[in-house]
Amino acid sequence: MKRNQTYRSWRPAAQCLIGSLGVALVTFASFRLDNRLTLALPLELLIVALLSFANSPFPSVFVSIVAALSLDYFLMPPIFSLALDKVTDAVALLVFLTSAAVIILLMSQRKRAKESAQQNEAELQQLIDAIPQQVFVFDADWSPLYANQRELEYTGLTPQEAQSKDAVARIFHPDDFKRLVVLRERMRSEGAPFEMEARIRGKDGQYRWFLIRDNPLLDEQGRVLRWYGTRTDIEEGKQAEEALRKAQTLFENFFELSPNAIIVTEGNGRIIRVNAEVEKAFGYARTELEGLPVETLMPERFRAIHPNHRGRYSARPSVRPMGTGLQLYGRRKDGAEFPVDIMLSPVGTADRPIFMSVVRDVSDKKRADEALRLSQQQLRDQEEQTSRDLQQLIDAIPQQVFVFDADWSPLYANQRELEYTGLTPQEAQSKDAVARIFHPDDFKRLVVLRERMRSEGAPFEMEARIRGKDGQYRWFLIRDNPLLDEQGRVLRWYGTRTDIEEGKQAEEALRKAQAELARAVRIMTIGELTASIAHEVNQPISGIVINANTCLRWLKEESPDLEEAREAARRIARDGKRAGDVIARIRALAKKTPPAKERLDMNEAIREIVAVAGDEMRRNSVALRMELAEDLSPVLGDSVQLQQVVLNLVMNGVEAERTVAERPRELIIRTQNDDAGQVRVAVQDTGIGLEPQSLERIFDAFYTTKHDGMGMGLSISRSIVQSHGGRLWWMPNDGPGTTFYFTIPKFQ
Amino acid sequence: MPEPDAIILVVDDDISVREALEGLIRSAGWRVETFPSAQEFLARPPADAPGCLVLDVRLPGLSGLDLQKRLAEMNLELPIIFITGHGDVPTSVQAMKAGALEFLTKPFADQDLLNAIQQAVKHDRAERRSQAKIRELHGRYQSLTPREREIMERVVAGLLNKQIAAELGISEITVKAHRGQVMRKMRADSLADLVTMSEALGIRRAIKL
Repeated sequence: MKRNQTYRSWRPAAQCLIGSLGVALVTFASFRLDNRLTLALPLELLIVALLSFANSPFPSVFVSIVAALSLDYFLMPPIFSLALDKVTDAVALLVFLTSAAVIILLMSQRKRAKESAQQNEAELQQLIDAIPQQVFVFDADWSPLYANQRELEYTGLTPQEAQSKDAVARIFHPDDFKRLVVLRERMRSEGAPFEMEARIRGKDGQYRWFLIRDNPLLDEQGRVLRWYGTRTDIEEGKQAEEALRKAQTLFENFFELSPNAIIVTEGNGRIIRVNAEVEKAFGYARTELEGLPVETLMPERFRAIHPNHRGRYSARPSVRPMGTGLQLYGRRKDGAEFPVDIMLSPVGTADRPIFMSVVRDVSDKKRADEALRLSQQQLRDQEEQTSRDLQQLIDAIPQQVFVFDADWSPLYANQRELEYTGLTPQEAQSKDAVARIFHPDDFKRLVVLRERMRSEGAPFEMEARIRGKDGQYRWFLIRDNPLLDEQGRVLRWYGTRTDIEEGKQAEEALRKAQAELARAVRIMTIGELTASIAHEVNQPISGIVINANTCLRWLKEESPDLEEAREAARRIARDGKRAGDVIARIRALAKKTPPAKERLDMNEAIREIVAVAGDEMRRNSVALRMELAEDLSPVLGDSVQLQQVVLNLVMNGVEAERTVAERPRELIIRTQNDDAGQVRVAVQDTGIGLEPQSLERIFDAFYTTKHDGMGMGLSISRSIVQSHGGRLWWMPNDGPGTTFYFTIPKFQ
Repeated sequence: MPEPDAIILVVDDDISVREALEGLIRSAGWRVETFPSAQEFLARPPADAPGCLVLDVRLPGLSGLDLQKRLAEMNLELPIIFITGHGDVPTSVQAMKAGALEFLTKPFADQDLLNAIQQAVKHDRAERRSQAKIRELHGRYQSLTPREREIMERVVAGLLNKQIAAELGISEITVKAHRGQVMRKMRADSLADLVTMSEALGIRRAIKL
C-alpha cells in the first residue's frame, strides 16, 4: 500500500520530466534541421497522446503546455520570444492545443470507464461472498466452475476439493445425493430450473437442510451452457416446520382421540369443529354439525333459554363446569337423551372469541355405581361358597390334614384321618390319638421331635407308620408347619400326613433288586474266575503230590534221611491246610447269605477275595502288593457285598493292565483309617488309565470302556458303598494308571 | 546222575510249589536255588556253572515267557523247563518255539522232572563246552594281524597261493610265509582243520573275485 502511494506520487513527476525532455529534444531537432513546425507539431502531439495513456491526465496537460510554449519560443517567429508574428502560427498553436486537449479528454474518459468496470466486478465479488448463501456456477456437465466463500466455510472443503466434480457426493447426505443425481440427469436434457431440499454435511460432521436452486443458461438452440446455483440453509425453518407439524399432530391426536366429546364454537354459538367422540355420542356426522348452533345438541326444552346463559358466559368467560348442581342432558340425532357433564373453556382471542365445551357422557358412570353395589353382594355370596368349596377340597385331598394348637391338641382334622384310622371324631379330637395310631417306635420319635420343635418353632418332617382301621401299619410322611406370633411363639401347627407306603415298598423292592443284581454279578464274576479258583486249589495240591514223592524218595534210600522226609511231610500238612482254606473261602463267597451288616475286618475280607482273584492276576502277569494297615478299625458292613466291590475294582485294574507291556504290571491294595473316622480302601493299578471326562460316567449303569464289559460293575459297586454310608471315587495316578478309593464308616 | 557243580534254578511265585520243587530236586542230589519272581531271578548275577531253569509260566509282573525272551536278549542261553498248572497248547507251543527244553503240566510225575533236569544239564554242559571252544578259537583269531586274516579268509575259500598273491598284489613267497604264521597261530594241523575252525568262527569271504 505504502509502496503503491510512493509509486503514484513520483510517477506523474517522472512522466512530466520525460515528456518535457521529449518535447525539448523534438523542438531542438526541428530547430537544428530547420524543418520548423511540420515535423515538431505532429511529433509533440504524439508525445502528449502517449503520455495520456498513463493513468493521470496531469502530465499530458503539463507537457502540452510545455510543448506549446517551446514551439512558440523556438520555432515561431519571432524566435526566442513568446510573441507571435504570423496568424498562421497562432492558429497552428491553437490547433495543437485543441488536439492535445481532445486526446487527453478521450483517453481519460476511456480509462475511467475501465476503472469503474473493475471496481464493479470487485464489488460484485464481495457481494457474492457476503451473501449468506452458497453460490455456484457449473458447466453443462455439473463440473464446478465457481463457488463462493460460503461453501468452503460451511463444508470445510479445501478449494481444490470444492473444485472437483465429486464434491457433492462427499458433502450431500447419501439419500439426498441419489435424488440430486437423478434430478440433475433429468434437468440436463430438459434445461429447466429446479429446486430441491437436501441435507449437506458441515465441517462439524452435522447435516443441515439446504434449499438447492439451480438455473440454466441456455444457448440459442436451448442447450445448457451453464448452471447458476444457490444453496440456502433452511435448517432452522425445517426444524421449526417439524416442531410445528409435531405440535399440530399432537393437538389433532389430542382433540380427535380424546375420550370426551369436544365441541368448539364461535362467540355466536355456531359450531366450528367437533371431534370423533361427538359424532359417536350424538350420532351426527361432523359435516352435518359444522355451522349449526350448539343448541342443536340439547334437548328441546333447554334450547330457548341456553343463548342467554351463553351470553352471560361470553361476558365473563372462564374455565368452569356448566350448570353446576344441575343434571345436564345431551340429545342425540335420533332424539334420545343422555346425562352429561360439561366443562367450558374460552380458547379464542379478544377479537375472535372461541369456546371449547368438553362433554362427558355420565350414563356409564351411573351404571357402574349400580354394578358396584351388585358385585359387592356377589362377593359376599362367593366368599361363603369358597369357604364351602375349601372345606370340600380339604376333605377331598388324599392327605390327612390337621390343625393343632401349640400343645399339639387337635383343633381340626379332615375326613381322611377318620376314614383311614377308623377313629370316631371324639377319639380323633383327644390329645392321645397319635399314641393310639402311631407305631410305638415312631411315636417315641414323634414325641421327641415335637418336644424339640415346640421350642424351635421350625417346620419339620418325619416318616412314620400309622395303623389303619384294618390293623395294618402303612408308612406316612408327616409334615408340620408352625404359625408363629410376633414374638416367634407357636400359635398353631398345620400338619399333613401323606401315605408313602407304596413309595416305601418300591424303595425296598429296589434295594432288594439291587442286592439281587449285585449277587448275580458276583456269581458271574466268580464264574469267570473258575479257572483261577481251580488253579488256586491246584497249587497246594501240586505241592502235596511233589512233597509226598520227595518224602518217599528220602525214605527209599538205603540210609533214609528222616529229617528231610519229616520236612517234606510238614510241607504236605501245610499245603493240605492251605487247600482247605482256599476251598472254605470260595464256599463263603459263593454262599447265598442274606444281606446283613455286621462287624467286619476289611483286611480279612480283602485277603479272602484275593485268594479267588490271585491266579487271574498271575495269568495276566500282574504283581499284587497288599499294604493293609495293621491297626485297621472294624467296619459295619456286609462282607459279601464289600468283597464284591473289592473284586470288581481288582478285576478292573487287571483289565486295565492287560495291554501294558512297557512297564511292570502292578496292583496295590491299600487299607487305612482316614481322618473322617472311616476306613479307606484304595485299589491302585498301573494300567492304561481313564479319560478325565469319564470321571463320573464310569459309575453309570451300562457304561463301559471294555470290549466285553457289561457296564454294571462300578454302578453296583457305588450303590453298595453308598448303601453302607460310604463313598466310591477314583483319581488318576501321578504316574501311569488309576486309583479307585472307597470308604466305609467304622463299626461303633 | 546229578553233577555236583551244576545248579538248578527254580522260579515259582507259589510257596507250596516252590518249596516242594526245591525239596524234590534236592532229594535227587542237585544243588537248588529258588526265586519267587522273575525280577528277583534277574537280580542275581549269572553263575558260571552248568545248570537249568525250572520256570513257572504264570508269574506276577514279568511272566515266564517274558523271562525266556529277556534271557535270550541277554545272550544267557540257559536251558528252560517250563511248568504250568494249565496245559494250554498255545503257550506251550510258544515256549517250545522259543527254545524251551521241556514243558510239564502240573501235576507231573517227579521222575519226569528229574529226567528233564538231567537232560537239560547235559545239554547245558555241552553247550558251555562248545561255547568255551569257540571263545578259545576267537582268542586265537584275534592274535592274527590284519594281513594274516586276509590270507586266512582266502585260504579257507580254497584259493591257491598264486591267486592270493595276485589278488593282494604281493609275492607268492610272502603269501607262503603268512600262511605258515596263520597255521601256527590258529594251531591248525591241516587245511581241513583250519576250514572247520573258520566255520565255527563264522568267517566268510568278504571279497569276491
